[in-house]
Amino acid sequence: MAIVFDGTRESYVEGLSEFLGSGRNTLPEWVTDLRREAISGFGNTGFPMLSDEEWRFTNLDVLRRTSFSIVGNGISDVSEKTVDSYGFSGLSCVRLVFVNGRFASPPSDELRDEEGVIATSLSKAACEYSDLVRNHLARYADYEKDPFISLNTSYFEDGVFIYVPDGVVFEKPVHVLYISTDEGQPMFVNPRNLIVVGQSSGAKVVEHYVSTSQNVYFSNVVTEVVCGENANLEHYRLEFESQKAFNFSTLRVNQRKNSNIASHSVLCGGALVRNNIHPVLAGEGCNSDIYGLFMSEGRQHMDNFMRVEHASPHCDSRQFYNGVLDGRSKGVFHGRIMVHEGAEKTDAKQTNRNLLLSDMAQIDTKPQLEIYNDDVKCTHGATIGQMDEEALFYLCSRGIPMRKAKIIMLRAFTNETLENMSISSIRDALEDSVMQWFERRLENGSGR
Amino acid sequence: MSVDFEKLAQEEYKYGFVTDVEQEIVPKGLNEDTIRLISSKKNEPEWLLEWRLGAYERWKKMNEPRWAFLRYPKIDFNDISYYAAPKSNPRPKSLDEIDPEIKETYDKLGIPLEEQKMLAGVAVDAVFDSVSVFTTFKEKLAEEGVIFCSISEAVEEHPGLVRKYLGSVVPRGDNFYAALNSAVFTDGSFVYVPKGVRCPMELSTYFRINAENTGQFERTLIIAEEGSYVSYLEGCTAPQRDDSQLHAAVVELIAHDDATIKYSTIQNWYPGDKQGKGGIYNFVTKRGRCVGRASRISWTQVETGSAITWKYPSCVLEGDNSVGEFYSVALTNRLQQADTGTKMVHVGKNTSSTIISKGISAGEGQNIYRGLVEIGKNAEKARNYTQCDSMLIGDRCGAHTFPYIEVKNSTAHMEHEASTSKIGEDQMFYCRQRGLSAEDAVSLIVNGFCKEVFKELPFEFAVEAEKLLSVSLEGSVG
Amino acid sequence: MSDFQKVAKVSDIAEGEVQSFFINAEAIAVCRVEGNFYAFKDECTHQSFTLSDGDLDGERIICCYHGAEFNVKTGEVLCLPAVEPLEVYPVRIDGDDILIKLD
Repeated sequence: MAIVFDGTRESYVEGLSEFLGSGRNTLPEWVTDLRREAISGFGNTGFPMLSDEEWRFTNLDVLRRTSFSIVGNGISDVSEKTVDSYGFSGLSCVRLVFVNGRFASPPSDELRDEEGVIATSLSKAACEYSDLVRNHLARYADYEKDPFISLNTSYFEDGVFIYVPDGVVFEKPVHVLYISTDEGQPMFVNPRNLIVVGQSSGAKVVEHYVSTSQNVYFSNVVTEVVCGENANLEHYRLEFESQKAFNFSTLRVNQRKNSNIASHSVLCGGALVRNNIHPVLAGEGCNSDIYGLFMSEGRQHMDNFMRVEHASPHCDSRQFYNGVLDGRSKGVFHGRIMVHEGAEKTDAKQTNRNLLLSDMAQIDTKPQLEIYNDDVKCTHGATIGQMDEEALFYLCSRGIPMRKAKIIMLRAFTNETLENMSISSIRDALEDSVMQWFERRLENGSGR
Repeated sequence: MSVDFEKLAQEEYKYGFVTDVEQEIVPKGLNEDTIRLISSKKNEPEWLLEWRLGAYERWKKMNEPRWAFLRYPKIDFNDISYYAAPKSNPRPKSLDEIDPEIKETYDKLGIPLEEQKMLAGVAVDAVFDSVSVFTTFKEKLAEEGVIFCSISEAVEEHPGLVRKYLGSVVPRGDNFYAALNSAVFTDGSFVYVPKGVRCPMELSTYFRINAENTGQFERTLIIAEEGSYVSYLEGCTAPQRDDSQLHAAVVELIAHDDATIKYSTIQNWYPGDKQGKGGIYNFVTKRGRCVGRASRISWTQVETGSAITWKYPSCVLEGDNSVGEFYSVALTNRLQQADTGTKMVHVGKNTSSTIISKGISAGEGQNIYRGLVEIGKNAEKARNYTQCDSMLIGDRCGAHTFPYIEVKNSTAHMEHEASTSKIGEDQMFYCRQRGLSAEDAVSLIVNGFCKEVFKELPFEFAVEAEKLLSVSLEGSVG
Repeated sequence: MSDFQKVAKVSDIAEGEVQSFFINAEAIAVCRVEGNFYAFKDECTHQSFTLSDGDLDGERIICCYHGAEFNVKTGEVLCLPAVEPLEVYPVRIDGDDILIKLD
């Protein structure tokens, strides 16, 4: 049975009781209470309006007026071969698979090793490790004020749960694959992930979103990360969904003292994409490195919203976001650095570089500094342009054909972000898919 | 050596006096009748009344903007009187006909209305609450064909020009406060500079709010024909009162081919007291259109007053090779909040713009730079240079930088630099050991920080601006 | 995506009316002026607000948020604060169907 939402605020609020009675909610009772609380947040806000400064560049009327349904049974129609085709060659990893927001047990390698590392589905974890999940779930992502977090908290069916205990460095990357299939009607999926990395421990997590067909759906992801004292986390979000999908995602990170996080995002799919990255540097001496690459074509709309909150002294943050835009696509980079009172000796840097490959593409960039402390070092910079003609001329004069020269230039540009990835097999695979994307653009006559 | 930034000494606002003059104040409240009353008091033609009523219709459907980084209580638009005017001669022919109290007010403000006492080469339009009380040097300017008068007078004397240009830069429905202004504007200045004329003197308007519980809604329109030049300056003060007062102005500039308009503001409205009580809410829409080829519009502002400032003087660069400039110093002390900046909209080819913004926060002040640079599809080879620097004095204030860059043409060249700093202890030490007091040292450093902007002001006013900044900063350091 | 696609029905839109439709995430406004149908991107080029929320006055669409005005037939800007022309789409009528072409 499908639960249908017609786009109105009421339909999303009232749909919850149907969802709770549908048998799709397999989580314990305390989550039901949480869902009920969360939906009232959406009831108060509805989908954001353009007049909301944080949504200034993205008109969401389409969400208010399009129907989506919670539907489908998960793995049934995806073959193991299809699942394997999304793997990274040469990568030894723990793989967890979700289809249309539900856990797919057989192709997944659930993990609970002797050191206490856990990688499983959140719905299972909420039953088996109830205290652990309860201590962290929905404690960081604000479901009262953020309408997408509110909807996700109310309607999530599953997602990944990763736990690394204190003092354990888990070297093997966890590859979490989220597959969307065609269910015959526009579906609404809400993957919910929780990653808890203990004191002085480490982990690498790869969230990977793909579609098996070019269909319309509304994917609304929320990931909460807790990074313990002295912990290191490397997080990837690879978004290669259908060109017709509506993709909303939030990464909310809570960093404790002296912890380090590196976040890598690569966005390529989706008709309407909103990518929220929100680390809070809560303890002293934290370090946050945020890298992103977005590539858009056709009429794609990609809105990147960063909010880096410095809440303690002696923290460093770096943001490097590069965009490549073609066709009539529109890109948004909205980066906010907030330095709270008391966060002395903050060192925050933000860079956004954009390459426009077509006359019709558009980029809106809004690098913001919000500073309540006089002892800080904050800088931001943005550049927008086309490929450097002089550099192209130089390459051509050395006997490199124009097409090749352009590819070299684009590779250099995209590698500014990709080269920071420590997992080489993923970095190589992404470089290849970036090049394939660009070759396709060149064939269509773009990439001047 | 450390500097104690905490000690606060109360510095009096010099312009806080009230003029005792018999005034006509219309009852509080905003409705169609209020608008009809204002229009009839000004003997306006039917088309202007219709225009105002149309603006009011739109305003009723609009919501007060809340996107700015400002916190202030909700304004009750029915608790404001929309028209206040001295009862004396409404349009004096000569100085003798002006109410002596009003004349004295301007003397006290340092703006004598007698032409011989004036700074040589500055013509003044004096606006007192809702009306212009006097304009100096009109005849002399008329010899060159320059029209400089109040907008009410322009509506009667030059209706064709007003009708052609009013609302052509800031349309009635542009934003909440512009719509409100379009419905209820009372007075302001009108300037017309004919083709090829370089306006022989600086033009200036002095805005004074005097009456209690009133709002001031001025409207200024400046038109520079082909090849002309004009430099215009406005100054503003208001009495010290416990209730906040609303000032919602609209300024429209039009520059034709090769014309230049230089518009400078020294804004020193009453900022409210130490506890943040009272002060002017300054919600202003200022926009210029460079419609002609190689035209130039330059905005310079020194914003030291007002409890709340919401102001983004903008340039729409339509003509090829046109130039837009914005130079700003904004200071917030005590509980003042300023959300200010500019918009540079590049439409034509080879258009260029420069933005220099200096924000200074002291006390518990919040200072926000918000600026947009938009490069349109056809703005080939457009250029922008933006530099926004913030300075924090003390640790309870805030400095925020919100640039917006929207690009639809990749041949654009943009440079953006931003910095946030505090007054260095070594700088203070150096000044102090040379015998300067802490306050003088801060003032010296801050003036150095703002130099790039001050040098854009007409000479006499640059001196004034430096003094003003020192006064506004007094008490922020000890 | 270079073919004509169905966006609305002739009977959906009365004379002098404007309505909003979607093709994927793309908002498209369709209006009928003196019997002719015109289609344009349903976002003001000033700040992306929905144009069809505003009033249609002959061939003129007026954005109700900041007062910008455009010609629905040509996309030409008729009033500030917008400065960029509106994207207009070719329209074809096939029986009761209104088809438009997105390039």
